[in-house]
Amino acid sequence: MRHDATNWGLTMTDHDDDDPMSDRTLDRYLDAARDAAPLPTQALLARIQSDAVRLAPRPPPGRPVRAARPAQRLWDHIRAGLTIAPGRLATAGLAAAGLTGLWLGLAPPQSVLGPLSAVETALLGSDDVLLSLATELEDWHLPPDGIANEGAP
Amino acid sequence: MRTPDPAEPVPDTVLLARYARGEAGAAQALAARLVPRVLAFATRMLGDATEAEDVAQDAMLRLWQAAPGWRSDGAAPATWLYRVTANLCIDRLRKRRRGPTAPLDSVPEPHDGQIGAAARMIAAQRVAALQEALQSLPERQRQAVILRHIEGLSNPEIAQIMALGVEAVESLTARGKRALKAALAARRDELGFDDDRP
Repeated sequence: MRHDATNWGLTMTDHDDDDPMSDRTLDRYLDAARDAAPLPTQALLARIQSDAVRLAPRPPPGRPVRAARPAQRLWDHIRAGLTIAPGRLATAGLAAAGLTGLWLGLAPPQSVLGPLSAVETALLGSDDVLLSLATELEDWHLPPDGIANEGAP
Repeated sequence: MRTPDPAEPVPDTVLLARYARGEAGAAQALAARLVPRVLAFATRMLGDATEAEDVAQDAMLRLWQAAPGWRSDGAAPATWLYRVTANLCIDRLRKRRRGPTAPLDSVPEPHDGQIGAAARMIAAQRVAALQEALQSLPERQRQAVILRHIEGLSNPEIAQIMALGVEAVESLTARGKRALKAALAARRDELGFDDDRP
């Protein structure tokens, strides 16, 4: 069987006389096969997902990879930069606060000293009051741990 | 520099890189995209749904294993996966040592619920006849014909998958198509096809 098609006045054939079947007929078979493409079952997809989880690359030790919120990632960076173990974070924070307080006490910068002096004067009165308070405190014999001796006046 | 369009699908290579960095969701997206293609190809190559599922799982497993060292300048993941799937199928076919052709009930039937019973029967008959004809082709011809005429890949893509030149692919598909026609035409009376039937 021979099929002709006219296109801009030219006669075209979709197969030659030696062809046992026209391209058009074969295309119907190929179309049917394409339409019947198998769909993966949920069981297959679950097996494949299980493999993916099992073989998922592990992050290097000490640097956990998290699909986290941006704020969480920022915190991870800070923590990683400080190289502080999570369990010791509270202790490290206290130590940092103590060191900052010591620095402010020993060598306060002018930008800090100015406002502090104003606040102290406003709360405690004149410099004479502050001087007498300091004298009384000296008589308390404060031990290194900051707790007053029981026998002190 | 071109700004990525959020509506555009994320490329397979990007998803694979995300999986390699530990994002589980990337594997799911990749599987949803690639497994149907791999499964369809394996089913056509093997003519057996159960074996095709095993091959699809095995091919995807190799993709997960390859993810950490994946080179973006190499083949696209889909192309690479087709090549792995073809090799796995050919291994299985060789083990069969020219066993019997695929049973008809292992070939998927059309899943269009809207077509009538008669049309569905004709479609199922065509699917089964084509599958049997495909099984009669030499492995390389079968692979080329499936990739070109059923999966719809381009000749350069097939050339990359089969590690051939484009001309060799054209020759394989042309010979495969002729052999397919001859196999179907030999069953003309049984199948009752004529060129005017839609």
